[in-house]
Amino acid sequence: MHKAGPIVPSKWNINPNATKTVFANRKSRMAYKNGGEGKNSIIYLPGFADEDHREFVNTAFVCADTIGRKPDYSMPIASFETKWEHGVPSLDHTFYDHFASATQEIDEAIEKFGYKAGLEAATANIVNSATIDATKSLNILDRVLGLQTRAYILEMAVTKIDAPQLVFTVDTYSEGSVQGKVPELIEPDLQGHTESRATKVLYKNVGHIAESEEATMKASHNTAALRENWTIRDLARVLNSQISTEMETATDVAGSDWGLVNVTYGRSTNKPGDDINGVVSTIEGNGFNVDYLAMHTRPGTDFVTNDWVNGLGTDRPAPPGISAPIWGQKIFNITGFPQVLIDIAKTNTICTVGSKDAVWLGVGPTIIANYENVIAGYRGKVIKQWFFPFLSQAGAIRDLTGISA
Amino acid sequence: MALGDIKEGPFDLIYRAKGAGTITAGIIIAFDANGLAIPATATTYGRHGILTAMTHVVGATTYYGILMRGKVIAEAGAAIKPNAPVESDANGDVITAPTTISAGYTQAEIQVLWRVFGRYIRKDGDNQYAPSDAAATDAIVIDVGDH
Repeated sequence: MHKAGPIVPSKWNINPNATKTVFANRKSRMAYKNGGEGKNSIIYLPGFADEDHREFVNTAFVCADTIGRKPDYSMPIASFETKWEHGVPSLDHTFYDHFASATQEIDEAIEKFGYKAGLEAATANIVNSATIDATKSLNILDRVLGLQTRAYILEMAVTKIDAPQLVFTVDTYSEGSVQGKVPELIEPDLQGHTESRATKVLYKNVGHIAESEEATMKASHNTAALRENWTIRDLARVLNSQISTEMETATDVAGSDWGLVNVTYGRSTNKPGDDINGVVSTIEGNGFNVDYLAMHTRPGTDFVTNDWVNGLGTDRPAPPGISAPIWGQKIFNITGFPQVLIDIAKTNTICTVGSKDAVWLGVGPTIIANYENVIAGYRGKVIKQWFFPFLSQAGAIRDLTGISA
Repeated sequence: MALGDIKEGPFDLIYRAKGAGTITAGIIIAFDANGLAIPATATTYGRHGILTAMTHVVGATTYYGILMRGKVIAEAGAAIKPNAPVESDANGDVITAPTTISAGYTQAEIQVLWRVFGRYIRKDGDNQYAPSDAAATDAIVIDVGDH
């Protein structure tokens, strides 16, 4: 504490009701002005200043805190004493030495270092998160979100037909039946025979991406490669969806809700086997093998959790460990049923039961072309694929409808 | 795609500084007497374009990318039929331009010719072979310069 001879007038009477800042002398005014309002203000603490600084009573301090809350106890300015003369109050001051130079020292330290060592008060220039926000470090991950694609598996339910000339023709023979139980010496009738042809023209699925030279150079990631990769995957999604649409043009057969639970007995109400066996019989009766059950994730869950499928049924329990697939598998087998294909592209109320010979997929060429407009400054890539999913044999496929809700 | 995105090439893009008014990507742009980009209204004439999201900054001046020819995403201000010639409404959104000229034609009917700036193709997301009618606030594909 520097209570020494003041360098300013020993007496400085001011109006205790004054509302504006009054300075001791030219030096203190200059120090205050250099510091600026709020940056280095003065705070007057009536009574004891602080538990740890009981020597200060009715004292004014320098305050380096921008909002003027905490005094700097190393920088007392003046002590005050209220006096009454003729009924009028006034404040008597006793100035501490070196006020002006001390405030100047604080200002310079803050300007230079952002803080002054030994100050109890926080200064406005402590660097915090807000200060470095614009220049904070970056950790750009290699992985880019928004490009996720799943596995598309409905191609497993079709027969692929090469069609490099973008067309394929489907010729159909219709043969008459052989004649049975022909009597002796009777010439049998000739079998009838008709032919028909359907010509299918493939359609084109196209992925087209382009970006400017500047975008390529400024990007944090290899944008062109990421977009190309995603575009190829999205072409697979589009084709998968188109196959699903074609599969669902099959003849509808009403099924029952496989997820329905009987509230009285707490078990599945409907037996998927009843629905499936019905259409399997139809398809096999038409001369085809049944290869798959294709359905959306929701009916797929209803199917594998159905009591009559997962082994809790009383009439025909399936062997444990075989009946219930590990969820996440999209292709699995359950005893007593055709292979199951789970794909969310399918409608969530339909289970398609069919032979792989039912839907044909005309597969044409794939053309990938890069191009560049050098003058305007952008590069592009076009990926073209020709396909045509075609339900060629209506007798080999059925859609079980209403099997999930 | 977002308003102001270029949908297909070929296209002509010009950059101009902004005049009076507020401009946002996807609105129709007109030009003031100094050639500065201003938001189009129902009474702006001459060539119009669609503001893209692209900007070009030189010093303190921002130049805005305006598509003057090509296919771009804009916002419908009212119902529009496919292939209708289009003009700006009071907000710089796209509306159908009237094509009727009465027997005793008026100046206003003729002046429409200087407000038409393109053709409505389809809603963004429509199949290219199956355009549907646009409704107000739809993001739509406009062929700017085709009219």
